[in-house]
Amino acid sequence: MKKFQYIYSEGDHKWGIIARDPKKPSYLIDTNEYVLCKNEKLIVTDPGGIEIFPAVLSSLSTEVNPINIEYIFASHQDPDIISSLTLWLDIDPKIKCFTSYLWSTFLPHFGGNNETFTIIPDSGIDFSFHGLDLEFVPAHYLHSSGNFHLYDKKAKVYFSGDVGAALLPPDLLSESEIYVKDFDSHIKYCKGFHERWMGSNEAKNDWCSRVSKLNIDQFCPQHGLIFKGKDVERFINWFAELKVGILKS
Amino acid sequence: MIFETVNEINEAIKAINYASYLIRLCALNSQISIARISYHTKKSTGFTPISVELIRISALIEEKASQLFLIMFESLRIITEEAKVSRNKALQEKFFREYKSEFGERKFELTHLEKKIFFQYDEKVDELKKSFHIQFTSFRSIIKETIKLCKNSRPIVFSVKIESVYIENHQAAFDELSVELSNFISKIESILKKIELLNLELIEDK
Repeated sequence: MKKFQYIYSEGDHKWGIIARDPKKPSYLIDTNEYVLCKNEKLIVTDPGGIEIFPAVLSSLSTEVNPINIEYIFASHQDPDIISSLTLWLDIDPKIKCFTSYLWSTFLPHFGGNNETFTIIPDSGIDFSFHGLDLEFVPAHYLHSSGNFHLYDKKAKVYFSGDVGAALLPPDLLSESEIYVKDFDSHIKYCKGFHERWMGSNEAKNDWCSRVSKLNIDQFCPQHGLIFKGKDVERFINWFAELKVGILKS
Repeated sequence: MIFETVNEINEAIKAINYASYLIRLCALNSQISIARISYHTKKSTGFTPISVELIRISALIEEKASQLFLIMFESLRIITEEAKVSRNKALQEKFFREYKSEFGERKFELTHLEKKIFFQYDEKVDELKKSFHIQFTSFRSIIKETIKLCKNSRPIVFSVKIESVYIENHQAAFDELSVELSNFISKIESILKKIELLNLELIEDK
């Protein structure tokens, strides 16, 4: 089963990661789900695909009560991000899902109705979650044409969706480590993914210049490991230098 | 298996439509031929109302076929929805099984949530079953109506034979037409019986 671990905790303000499932079939890409808790109320980011729903919910329920989920954030429209939406809504039909306006009529194919979606405009929005200042940061074309990240200014946690993702080999996936320990040896697992999945150098450079100004302590991708401390800046610099949109034969 | 049966029924409905179209085509062609003959002989004007009646029957059969097609579409939607509910239910069951088995002492009591979720699923399945039953009942009654329509059209087809007596030199052609129309109607009747059986199979599969 996937494991729930807290990555930030200060009073009633917490961030948790749900990661690494040794029982997950190898044909499914490995994903990280994050849970933001404030006053016991929850936001789940990119809650995952339909196949891994039981594992994610089991893991989540070890630490937090699923009936307290108020929001789901879908950084973009991919099936590994949000195809489980219908099952979360079965837990509570009142759960709202934040997503780009671009996907608000696509995601109902996974579940939900008119009232489910809270639409984020291209420019992004600030959102107060039980007194906590959050920001939906635009990351369009990285990789999806309507893509957002979630920034928690107080915790300095930045949920980065597919940016910073790494396709880890099976031996590393079986380890329980959630943080990048050696940037230089880790970054090779990010390279191919970013070159191929990220489609626009212009969008990437614009994103790098905006995000490098933010105060980030933990940079949390949906696949792979979390960048912490100085590795955050190293990653942004590395990404700024990388040429993306490359199709290798 | 269910989808194969649905597909077979849909194909059979298409065959009904086609046979009905051929009835209309025969009726129209014969009306043109009769018009030509009547122009010269001034006989057999009685054929026109028969032809009109055949066209009307063909239109009615096509209308019934469209209704059957719509019911099949709705049934397929219900079957798909039911499959979706069962899949979701299975995944939720998996979660609750894992949650109960992996942690001796559970942090949260989720019995109420479990009951609520499965009550919703059961309610949805009941609702879908009721809708499916309604569709099934309408389907059967439309089939019966269409079989009756075919039965009622037999005397009209026989009238073609009677009217052909008045047509000198062309009697054989109209005798043939009568046989052809009778064959089309028999074909529709046999397809309807087949559909009726397939629909029963569909119910059994479910």
